Amino acid sequence: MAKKPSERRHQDEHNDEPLDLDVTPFLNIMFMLILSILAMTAWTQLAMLNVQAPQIGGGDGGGGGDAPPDGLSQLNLTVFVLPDGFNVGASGATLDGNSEGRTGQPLIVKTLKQTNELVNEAIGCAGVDQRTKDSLRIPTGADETRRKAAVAALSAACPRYADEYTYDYARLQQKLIEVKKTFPTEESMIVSADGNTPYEVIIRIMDASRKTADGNLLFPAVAFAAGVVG
Amino acid sequence: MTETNPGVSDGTQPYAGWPDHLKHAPQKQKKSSRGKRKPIHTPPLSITSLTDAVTLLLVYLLKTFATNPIEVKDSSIQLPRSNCRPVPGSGEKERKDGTRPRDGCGEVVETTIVMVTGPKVRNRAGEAPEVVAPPRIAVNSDAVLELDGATYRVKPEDHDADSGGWVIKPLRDALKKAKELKEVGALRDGKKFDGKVIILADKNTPYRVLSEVLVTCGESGFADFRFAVIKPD
Repeated sequence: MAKKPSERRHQDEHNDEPLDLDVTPFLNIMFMLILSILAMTAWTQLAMLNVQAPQIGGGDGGGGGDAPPDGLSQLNLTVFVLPDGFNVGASGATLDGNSEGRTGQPLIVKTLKQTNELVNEAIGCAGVDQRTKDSLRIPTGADETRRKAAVAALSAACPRYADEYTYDYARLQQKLIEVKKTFPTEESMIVSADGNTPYEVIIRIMDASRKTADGNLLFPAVAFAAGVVG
Repeated sequence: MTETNPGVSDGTQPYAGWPDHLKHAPQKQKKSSRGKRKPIHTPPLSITSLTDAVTLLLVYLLKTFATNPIEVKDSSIQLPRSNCRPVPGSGEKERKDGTRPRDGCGEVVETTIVMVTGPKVRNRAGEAPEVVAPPRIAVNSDAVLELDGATYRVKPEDHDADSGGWVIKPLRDALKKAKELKEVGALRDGKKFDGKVIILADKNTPYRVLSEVLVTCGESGFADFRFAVIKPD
């Protein structure tokens, strides 16, 4: 429709700039929110493991002062953590002696570490070159000399990975399942370890002794013997 | 004007100022000022899509937002990983009867914290890692004592001789103070002091140090221990 020139000019001016909301301050607030949320978020989720009070003087504490709250402890099941493996004992004596290992060996000896476990350790270790890392990927038994050399290089660079053997938590759990079958009402366990045992090993033992893979409780009430085993 | 003195460009001569073509920024406004004066018009930048993306990011972050009642800010402490997956509602507040979760695996509660850190290590590229500070023991994030950096054990002079070398004296003193504070708080709320303590320990802490810390906690009246671990993903 035809318009008066004055009207037409008026409308053109409006069409030039459509009504636009200024979103910049809004955007600024958004960015600030994102930053603060990123800073406040807890990225590692924590959980708590309950433990019982330690008993001074070795694994043969015999109940000690305070009995564990759930169930009467008659068995005094004890896991000894030795530098070269686990021993499982009850009421102060070691369960079926050394029937499986050689004399003087722990019941559950350490096993060779998985290949990927060693490689992961090499990644966490600064002083290891790529060639060593590649050599660590060699499966056990294939090129034993090269593998052994790589393991030696790894332990030389990072002494805390000095060991190519690891504790056998799976076999410990099997053993505990056997014990649980004989003593179904028993829920407490004592852990007694060598003074140098890392805390991580203790946590792994507690993991192994808490539940089986299908969710049956084993020995979740873990207590610590302060005594050091030899 | 673009051709500057060739002696300047090789960098051996003293600085001779900016070349002329850089001194004066091109002035566009001058052209327009000749005619009718208009307000300076910035070309409209569409930030709507950016706003969309930012909003989506914000929503995602809000959904994954989670807090821990206790925080581990110290870089020298590496908590061990565990397969402990607490049943929701296994935190102390939700359990009205106050019992522990049966499998000994519960949610984080807020209470006294005893921290055993690892050595503080500085990693520089191409160099061997350098130990900056020895491992420490802290109560509620106040450092109490340092361990022996070489042996990773409690120093002999920090032991209480009467306890057979199991009680760590500075830790006991700090825990006694923490207990008094907790008892006042419990009295105000009309509750009893529960003796809960969380042990945050580095995964390489030797068992000897760990059991000494536990014995000392027990001596000082904190007998309900929890170990803080990292949940599986």
